[in-house]
Amino acid sequence: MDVGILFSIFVLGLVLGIPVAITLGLSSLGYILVAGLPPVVMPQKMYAGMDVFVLLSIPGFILAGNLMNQGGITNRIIRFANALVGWIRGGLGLTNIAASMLFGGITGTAVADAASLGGVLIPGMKKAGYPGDFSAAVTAASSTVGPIIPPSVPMIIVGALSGISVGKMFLAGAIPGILMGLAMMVTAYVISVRRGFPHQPWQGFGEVARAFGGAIWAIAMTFLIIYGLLSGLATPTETAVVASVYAFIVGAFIYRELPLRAVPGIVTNSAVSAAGILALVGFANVFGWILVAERIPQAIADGVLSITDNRFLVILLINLLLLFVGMFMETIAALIILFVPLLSLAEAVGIDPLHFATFAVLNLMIGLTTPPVGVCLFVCANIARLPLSPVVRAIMPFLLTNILVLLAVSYFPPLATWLPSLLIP
Amino acid sequence: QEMTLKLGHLANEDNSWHKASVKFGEELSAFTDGRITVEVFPNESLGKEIDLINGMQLGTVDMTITGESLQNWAPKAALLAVPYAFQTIEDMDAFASGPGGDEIEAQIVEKVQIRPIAYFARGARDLTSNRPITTPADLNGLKMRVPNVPLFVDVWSALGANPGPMAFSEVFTSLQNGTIEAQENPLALIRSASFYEVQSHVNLTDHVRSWIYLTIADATWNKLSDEDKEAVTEAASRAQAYERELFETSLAEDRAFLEEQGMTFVEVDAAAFQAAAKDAVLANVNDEIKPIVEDLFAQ
Amino acid sequence: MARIIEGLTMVARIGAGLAFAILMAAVLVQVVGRLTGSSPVWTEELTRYALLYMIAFGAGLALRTGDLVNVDVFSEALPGRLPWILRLFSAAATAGLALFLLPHAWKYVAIGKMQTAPALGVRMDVVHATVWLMLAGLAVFAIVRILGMLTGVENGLPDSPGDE
Ligand code: NA
Ligand code: NA
Repeated sequence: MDVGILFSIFVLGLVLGIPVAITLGLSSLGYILVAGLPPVVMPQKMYAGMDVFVLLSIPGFILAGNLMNQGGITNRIIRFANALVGWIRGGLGLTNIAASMLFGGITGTAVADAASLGGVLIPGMKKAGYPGDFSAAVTAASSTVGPIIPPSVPMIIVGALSGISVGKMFLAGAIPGILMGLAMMVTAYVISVRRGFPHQPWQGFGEVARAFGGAIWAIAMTFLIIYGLLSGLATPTETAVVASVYAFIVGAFIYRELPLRAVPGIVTNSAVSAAGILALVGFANVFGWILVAERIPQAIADGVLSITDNRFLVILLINLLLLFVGMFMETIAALIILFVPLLSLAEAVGIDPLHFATFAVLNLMIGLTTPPVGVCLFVCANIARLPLSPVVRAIMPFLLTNILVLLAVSYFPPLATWLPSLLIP
Repeated sequence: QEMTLKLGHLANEDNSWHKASVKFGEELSAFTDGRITVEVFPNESLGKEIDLINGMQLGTVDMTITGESLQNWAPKAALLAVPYAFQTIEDMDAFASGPGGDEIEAQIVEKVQIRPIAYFARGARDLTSNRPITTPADLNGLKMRVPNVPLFVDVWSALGANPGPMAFSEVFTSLQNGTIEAQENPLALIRSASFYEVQSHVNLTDHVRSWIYLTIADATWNKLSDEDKEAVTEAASRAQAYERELFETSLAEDRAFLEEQGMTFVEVDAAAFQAAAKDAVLANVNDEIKPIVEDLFAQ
Repeated sequence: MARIIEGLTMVARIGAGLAFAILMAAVLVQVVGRLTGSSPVWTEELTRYALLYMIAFGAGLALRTGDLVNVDVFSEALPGRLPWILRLFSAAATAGLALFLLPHAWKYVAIGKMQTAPALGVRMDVVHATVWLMLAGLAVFAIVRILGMLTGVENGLPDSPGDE
């Protein structure tokens, strides 16, 4: 069975710790050799996978995030979030979540969010008397709203795979992302009351106003991105590049914390990060092509439909599958392999592609914080200098919260589809 | 010997090209007593157009449906998309199946290493917009999308519009949010891409009448016995006749559908458009096809 | 050894950064062009090709920085020298895959000779070459990692990207 080779090498490669991109390449090559296909199909399909128009926006959004990050934005966002919610019990936990939501409007990947906010907030929370496990858990859990609130690298990849409008997907993520953030704040508050976490005194509206003044340029960036996409001035790629220029101007000339000599290095680092993601997309395109050639998407759809064509059950099955896969697999690889097969299933039972894309991405973002493989979980435990198991225990309530939001978005489509239908009539 | 030909194309399952591809497979299978079968992959599921052509050159794909994109290899294929080269579908048929068509096909075999075995007529390209446009003067800087074909950009600029190339996948949203105000495509595509949701008028410019080839990789072709080559040719010609029937009913159907969706069809001053376009066409077509185009314009 | 790594890294970084800069410039020309009413026909193609060159130069570096996405939770949790051995194996598998594919990628480059890009008019082998270059970059940086690990210059863990 040729497909057996494909999947066995894939799983083995992941267990051995071979980079996901290379694992996808090795398993595809294994299949190609066993099936007797010409290996030239690999470079050909890699090229085809990377030469896709919407992918052009990925480096731009990564650069914009990095420029903002190094241009003095992190501290301003934290200060503003703290002025807003720091006075509530467990205030720094809430600040952490609020900052993630604000930061989410700038970064398109969760790991960037976890690393930059976690680097400041986890040590800060520990110093203020919060336990390390809670500090790491709340940072990891809330970092996942980053790619749900626009902009979003996973949604750009979905656009490249399926042709669903990236602009619409960005808007579809806005309400679920905010909802998820608010729900986590409630959870953090309940935990804080129970465990008796500290809070700070209310600093007055003056501080709120001053902090807002400091963070306004960062907050404005989210609106710039959404405005760019809606107003008809720019495509996602153009928006991403304009956002980078904006981030450069804010960092270098308004905040004056971005030294000009650091810019070439930031541009190059962003190029390398983007190249890594896109090379992964290239290798994954070969893998995806094999799945289509073997008619696996059709088989999955037929298999599920032979059990049930009840939309309620199909949504449940899709969520269970994605949650399970998300536990073990990296987001982008999971999207490339599973999105198209599951989309044909979703469409067969009448689920709106835009709605499906939203809850699929939400689902895989939750996967970034689930054991055993959860990149954001690792990053935060590492910053907190803790082993994984206490952080996993501490993140459980947040995980449950996020799964509840996921179910709400899955079974109440307007949460995803209302805003895009309102703004892009 | 047993053989399965992989045929990939970009149209959906309802499209006449897809149905004709399936028909080709059935006919070929019948002619060869099931020795040769054709597996059809619609919706770009086997790859996009250029990728499929590359695949045929590398021996990873056997067949596809392709047209003016071939000019990236064979300059004469640019004749498949020359604005105002043909007034009617009969003119186009006469050319495509005549010596002119043979010349193009020969160059495709030579330069692309793929072999046209049938051709399908395409609906004429029309301009959609949100206001009626009857003369070139009405264009007046209209921001419109054209495919990545430099000739189209030149011609629409000369007519007075502000054309820009854009990936097809971006067109719908860009029309919706106003990045562009207009686009041009055959009725079938205006329908299947739901442009009627974001555009109110179809201006019957009929500016490009063209055709598209059903092709087989030369490498695959050369593997066939003479008898099988004949079977492929015969099956292809039946698929071509079948597609033409479907095409003619679909033209009327598409117009009725779009009118039902509220689109207004506008008759345009064809002579004015043609006159304004001619010089731009002649100035911008490649040297290899220029004499042929001059000849076509003279008729 | 350390100097070789440094030199190769420098070349790849300059290539990737330059390609990204060209991409940005082409997109800005496109935005300005549309706002002023005359979009040049070549911007869309140039941005796509610049992206491919950015990947070509950047992929090998991404291998070093872990941006090809490493999921090493199982392998790094193993006792003793096993994680080191698996890192070496992983670099060897990367080099093996890339080296095996290089001649096949060359075939793909070769068919590009027959084709020209519609707007820029460049021969497509120049663009198809990005796949070959990307694989070559992966092979070179994987081999360098193997040599570095065997000579004790590095331990095979991802470099931190923010160091430069
Ligand atoms: Na975001
Ligand atoms: Na996980």
